[in-house]
Amino acid sequence: MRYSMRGVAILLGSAMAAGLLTGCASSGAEEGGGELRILANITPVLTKQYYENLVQPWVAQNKGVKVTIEVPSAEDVQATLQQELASGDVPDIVASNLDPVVAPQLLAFPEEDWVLDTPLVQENKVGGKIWQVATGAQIQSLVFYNKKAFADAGIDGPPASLEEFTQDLKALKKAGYLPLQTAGEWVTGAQFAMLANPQLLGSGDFYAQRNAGTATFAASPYKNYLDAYAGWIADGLVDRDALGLKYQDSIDGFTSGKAATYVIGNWIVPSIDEAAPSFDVGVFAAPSLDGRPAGQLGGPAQPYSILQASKHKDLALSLVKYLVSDKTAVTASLASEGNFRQEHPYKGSPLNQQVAAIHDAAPRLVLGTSGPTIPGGFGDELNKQVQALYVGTAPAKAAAALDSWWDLNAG
Amino acid sequence: MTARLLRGVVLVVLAAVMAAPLYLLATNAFKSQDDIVGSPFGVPADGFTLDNIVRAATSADFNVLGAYGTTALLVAAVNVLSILVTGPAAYAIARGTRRGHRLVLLVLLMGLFIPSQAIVIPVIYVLRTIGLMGTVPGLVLFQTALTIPTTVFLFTAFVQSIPRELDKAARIDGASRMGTFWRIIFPLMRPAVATAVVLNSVSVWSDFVNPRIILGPGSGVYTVTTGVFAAVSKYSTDFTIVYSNMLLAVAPALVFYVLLQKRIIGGLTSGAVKG
Amino acid sequence: MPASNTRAGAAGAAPATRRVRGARLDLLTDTVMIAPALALVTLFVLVPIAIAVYLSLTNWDGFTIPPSWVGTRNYERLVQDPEVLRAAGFTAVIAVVGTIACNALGLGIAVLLNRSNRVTTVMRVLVFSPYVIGPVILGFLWASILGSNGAVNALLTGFGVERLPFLADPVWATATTVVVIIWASFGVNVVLYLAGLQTIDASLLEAAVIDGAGPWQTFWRVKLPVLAPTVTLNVVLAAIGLLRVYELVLALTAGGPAGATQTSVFTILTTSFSRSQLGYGAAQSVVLMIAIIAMTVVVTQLRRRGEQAVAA
Repeated sequence: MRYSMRGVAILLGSAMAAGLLTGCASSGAEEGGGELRILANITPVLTKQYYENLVQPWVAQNKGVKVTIEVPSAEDVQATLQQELASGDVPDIVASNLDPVVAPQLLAFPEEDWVLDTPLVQENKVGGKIWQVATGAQIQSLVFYNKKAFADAGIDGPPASLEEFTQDLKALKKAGYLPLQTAGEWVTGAQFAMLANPQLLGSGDFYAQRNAGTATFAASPYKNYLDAYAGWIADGLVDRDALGLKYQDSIDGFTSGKAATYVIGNWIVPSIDEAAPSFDVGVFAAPSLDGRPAGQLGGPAQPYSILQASKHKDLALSLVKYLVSDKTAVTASLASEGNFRQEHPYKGSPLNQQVAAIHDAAPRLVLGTSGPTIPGGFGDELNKQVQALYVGTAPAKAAAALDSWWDLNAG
Repeated sequence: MTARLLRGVVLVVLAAVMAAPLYLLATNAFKSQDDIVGSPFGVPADGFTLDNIVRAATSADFNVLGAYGTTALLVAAVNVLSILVTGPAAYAIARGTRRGHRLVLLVLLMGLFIPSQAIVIPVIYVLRTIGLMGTVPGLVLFQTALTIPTTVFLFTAFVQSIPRELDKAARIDGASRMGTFWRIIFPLMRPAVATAVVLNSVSVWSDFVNPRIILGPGSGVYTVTTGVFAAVSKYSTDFTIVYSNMLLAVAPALVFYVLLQKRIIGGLTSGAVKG
Repeated sequence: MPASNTRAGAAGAAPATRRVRGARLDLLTDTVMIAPALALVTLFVLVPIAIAVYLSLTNWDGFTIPPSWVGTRNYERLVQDPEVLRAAGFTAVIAVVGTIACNALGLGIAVLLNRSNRVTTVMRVLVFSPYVIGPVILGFLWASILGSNGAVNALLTGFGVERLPFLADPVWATATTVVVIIWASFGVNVVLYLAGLQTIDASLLEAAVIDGAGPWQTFWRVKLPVLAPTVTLNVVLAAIGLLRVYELVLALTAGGPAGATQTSVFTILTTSFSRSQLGYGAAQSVVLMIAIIAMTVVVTQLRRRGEQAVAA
C-alpha cells in the first residue's frame, strides 16, 4: 500500500492549528482578585443557572470577586470532591449534602447566630463540629398521588398502613393505572429508604445497633418492606421494566397521569406544579407498619460546606452567610425545591401547603442512607439490593446481603 | 453463485448494523422530542429543525469549540512528544545487541498490560510532586507515557526490518547515531509512524478517565469526551439535548475520518503487519 | 595467547581502542536515546504501580496522611466481597466472549473485504467508525437507542409488539452490554486482519488454486497458517482492551440495573471515589493488573504451541 507522510502531516497540522485557534480560550481563569469556586449539586431544578442567579446579588456587592459554579465531573458531588481532595485542587465551597467521611477536610463554622439559626444545625454536627450549614429542611417520606385515579379506584382516603397501601395499589391496577411509579438509577433504593427508614429508625438508632452487632437488617422493618416490595413486583403493581427508566422518566410518568402514586422528597413539588398535570395531586406520609404516624426521612436542604484548604475562607464565609441568612437568597432557595424553614414563610402552592402540614405533623425526622455511623456507599448497596428484587431475588436474601455488606464495610 | 449471494447478504446486514446508529445520530439531532420518541427512524412530517443543534452549540454547559481546541492540542502534543521520545529509543533498542536492550524493551512494553484507569490515582501523586497536577502539560506527559508501549512495539519491529548497511554507510559519512536515526532511518519509517499516529490520536481523542480526573472540574478545561459527558449525562431523557450534543461532539472527528479514511485505514494496515 | 597476539595486537591496536571507545560512545548515545522514554515510563507507569501496591496495603481514605498500614486485609476482603467477585465475573465474560467474537467477526469480515472496490472501501470505513467515535459517545448513543423509550422500543411499539428490556432487566442488560462492546470493538480486528491478509504471498494462493483447492480449503490450509502471528496479536490486544472496559459501560448503563453490568475498572473507581476507600480500590487495581499479565502470558504460550502445531 502506497501513501506518504503527507497524511500524517495533514493530521497533525490541522490538529495543531485547531489547538492554537481555540486552545488559549480554554486556559483557566486568572489567579488572584478573589475567585470562589463552588462545587454544586446539579439537578433538573438546581441548574448551573440557578446557582449563578442565587449568588449574583452577593457578587454585585463584592466587586472584584468572581464566583465559578463547578459541575461535578464524576458521578456525583461526593466522588468529584474526593477526586479533587486527592488532586489537591479543591473548590472553596461545596453546595451539596456530603458523606460525613469528608468532615475532617471541612471548615468548622463559627458558633455565631447566623450559623446557629440554620435548620438542623445541632443534629448534623460531627464530633461536635458544625461542618455544614443548611438553607432549609426537607422531608422525603412522601407519597404523591393522583386524586382522580384514587377516585376511579374507589379509594376514599389515603392509606395509613403498608397493608392498606398494598390493597390500594391493587385497586389502582384494576382501575387501569400503573399503581406505583418507580425508576432505575438511584431512584429505586432512594424510594425504598423514603418508605422504610421512618420505621427502621423509629425505635432508637438502628444504625448504631447494627454497628454494635445487636441488630440485623434481616430482623428489622426493612425485611417487612422488602417483602411488601417483592409482592408489588410479583403482582405487577410496579413496572417490571422500571429499572430502565431514568429519574426524569419517573417524574414524567407521574405528571402525565399514567402512574397513580409516586414516592419522592418534597423537592419535587415545584416540578409537579410546573408540569401542571390535568388531575389534582394529593400527598400523604409514607405508610407505616402499624398505621400510626412514624416520622419522616428528612434532613438539611441545600447545605453548604467550606473546604479547610480554601485560600479565601473569609470570602467563602461571607458568601455562605449570605446564602443561608439573606432573606431573598433563602426564600429563593426554599421555593426552588419547596423546602422548609421556620420564620421564612413564602407563598407556596396548595401542594406545598399539604406537604408543610405533613412536615409539621411528623413526630420526628430520621436519617437516610448516609450519616456519621453509616459506612460510605450504603445507599448504593441498598439500591442494588432493592433492584435485585426485580429479578426475583428473595427478600430474605436481599436483607441478608445488606447485613454481610455492612459487616464487610463497617470499621 | 450462492457464495456471491451469501457474501452480498452478509455485507448488506453488516452495513445496516454498523450504519443504523450513525443514521439515528445524524437525523435525530434535527428532530423534536415527540418526533424522536414517536418515530425515531422516520422523517418528521413538518421537516427537520436546527433549533436543538443551535441550542447545543451555544449552550453554557458544553463549549464545543473550546473542547475541540483542547482535544486537538492534546492529540498534536502527545503525537509529537511520543515520536520524539520513542523514535530514538526504538532505534537504539532495535540496533542494540546487549541484554540490557531487551530488558529496556520489556520495561517500555509494561504499560501495555496496565490499565491506565488502575494507576490514575497514584499518577495524581506523581503529578502533584512535580507540580503538574490539574494542568494540560501534566496530562500530555501521562498520555504520552501511555502511548510509548504501542509506539515502541511498532517502531522497533520496523527498524529491525531496515538493513543495517544503511546505518554503516551513514556512519562512514561521519553522521552521529542520533543524526543517522533522524536523517536516514526515520524517513523510512513512514508506515510505522502513520500507524502509531492513528492509534495514538484515537486513544487520546477518546480518553475520558484521565482528562476527567487529571484536569478535574477546577481547571475549567474540558476535552470533547469530558465535555459531552457533563452536558449529556444529567439530561439523558431529553433526546433533543442528547442527540444534538453527541452529533456536535463527533461530527468534526467523523468528517476528518471520512476525508482521510484512505490514509487512516491504509496507515493501520501497512504499519501493523511488521512484527 | 600473548605470543600469538603480539603481531595482530601491534597492527590492530589503533582500531581496537577505537572500537572500544566506539562501543563506550555507543553505550552513551544509547543511554541518551533511550533515557527520555524510560524516564516517562518510570514516572508514569513503574512508580505508580509501586505506589498502587503500597496503597493496597493501607486503608487510605484519600486525604489522611500518612495512610495507616493494614497489611493484606484489603486482599482478604476482596476475595469475599460479592460486588468485586461479580464485577470480576462479568469482566471475564466480556473478555472471553468478546475476544472470541471480535476475532471471529474480525477475520471473517476481513476475508470478505479483502479486495479493492468502492463497496469494500465504504464497508471498511463503516466497520472502523465506532473506534473513531469513542466509547463515551457510543455508550450514550446506544443508551438512547436501546433504552425503555429508545428508538428500537419505539419501533417495536409501532409494530404492536411489546417492548424489550434491553437495559432494564439485569440479565438482558449484561447481554446487551456485551453485544454493544463487541459492536464497538471488532472493527479494529477487521483492519488488523486485513493487514495480515495483505502480507500473504499471491503465489501461495495461486499454487493452492492450481492444486485444486476451493475457497474454504485455501482459507483453512493456506491463509490461516500464514496468519497465525496476526491471530495471536489480535487475541492478546482484544483481551487486554476488553479487560479494561469502563467508559462504554458508564455511559450505557452506569453499572446498573442492580449492579449487574459493573466491570472491574468500574468498581475500582467507585470504591476509590464514591466510597473514599482508595486503599481497597488500589488492592483491586493490583489484582486486575496481575490478571491481565497472567492472561497475556497464558494466551501467548497457548498460541505459541498453536502456531507450532500449524507450522508442523
